[in-house]
Amino acid sequence: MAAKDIKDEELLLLWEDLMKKGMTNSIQGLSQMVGKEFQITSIKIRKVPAREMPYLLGGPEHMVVGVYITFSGASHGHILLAHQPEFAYKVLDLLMGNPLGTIDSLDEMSQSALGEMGNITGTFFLNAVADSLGVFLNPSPPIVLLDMAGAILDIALAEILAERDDVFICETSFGVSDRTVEGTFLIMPNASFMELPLVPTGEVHD
Amino acid sequence: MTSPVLKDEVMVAIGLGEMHVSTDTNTVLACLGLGSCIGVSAYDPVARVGAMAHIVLPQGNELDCQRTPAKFANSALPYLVMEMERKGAIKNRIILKIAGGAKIINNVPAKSILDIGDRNVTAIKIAFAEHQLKIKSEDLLGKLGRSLWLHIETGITRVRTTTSPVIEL
Repeated sequence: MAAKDIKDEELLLLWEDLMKKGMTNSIQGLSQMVGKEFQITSIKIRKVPAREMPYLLGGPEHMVVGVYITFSGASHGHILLAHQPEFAYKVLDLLMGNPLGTIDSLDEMSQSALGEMGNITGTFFLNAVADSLGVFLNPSPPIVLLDMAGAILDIALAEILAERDDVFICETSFGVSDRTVEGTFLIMPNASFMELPLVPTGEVHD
Repeated sequence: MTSPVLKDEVMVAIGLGEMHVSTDTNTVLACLGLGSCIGVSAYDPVARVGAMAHIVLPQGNELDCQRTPAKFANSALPYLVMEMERKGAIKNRIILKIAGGAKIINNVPAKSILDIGDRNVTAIKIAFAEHQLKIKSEDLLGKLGRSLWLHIETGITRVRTTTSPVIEL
């Protein structure tokens, strides 16, 4: 089946299991990195109008952390992982062995640590998806951004909006068992990534 | 972050690829969290008609520009002027100000989709020239997000970046 012929609902069904595998692996990677077990409390995969996207992150002016990872291999594209800065600060505290609440801004070292966190969560996600599909994906080093939600989303949305007016997203909520650290990752893949399940058939049209 | 919207004003946030025209003096039109996108503020001070467009991409084909004209730099301006004229504005009185086109991600190859801010700026300036319109003032490029507001009561346009306070544009 060609990518352009598949309906959005069918594409969402294809991705439901893949996203769960990807996010489960991603959260396991995060747990290994910080030495604390995170558990997923909910995963939602859906399609939303582009204009609603910034409001899923608290509003277009709300400061968020975005981690961009581009990839090559079976397909070319990018994913954006976005989450609240407060979550990032708490994870950094866990990573550095600080009492929670110690870190409240991003200096150079924190940015580097956050990049590494993005690298692990992003690549663990991509690896799980690639393994499930039997394809090879080569992720780039992550790009870490702290800016208004609207500004960070613009870049990913520009490519998506060239072809459609709505966006596929995967929202994953997770936390530690004592609920002292809870976060939501928002993954917003571009069209190439969404079409990956069709790649082995050789029927994806660019 | 402080907001320039006063207590008795109602903010209308213009979403990606949207455009809004207003003659309501209690309204503030806003493009919030502009990254690579460009916000265009337009105001006829005599007719007191204001408009704002949130442009996402530099170029659209004919069909896309007909369907969602405000999304593309090559179609947003004539669409905005036309809709303002419907509300009583006169083209040569319209004051136009623009903001956005930032390069939020550094070290991307030119012409990469992640370099869209530069291309949006180039495209909007071409569009201004093609439609014989002048940019009164601008706050473009850079590496930070921006927000843009237009107060219909006064025609004042304000802008801020992620790290700077609100200023008049």
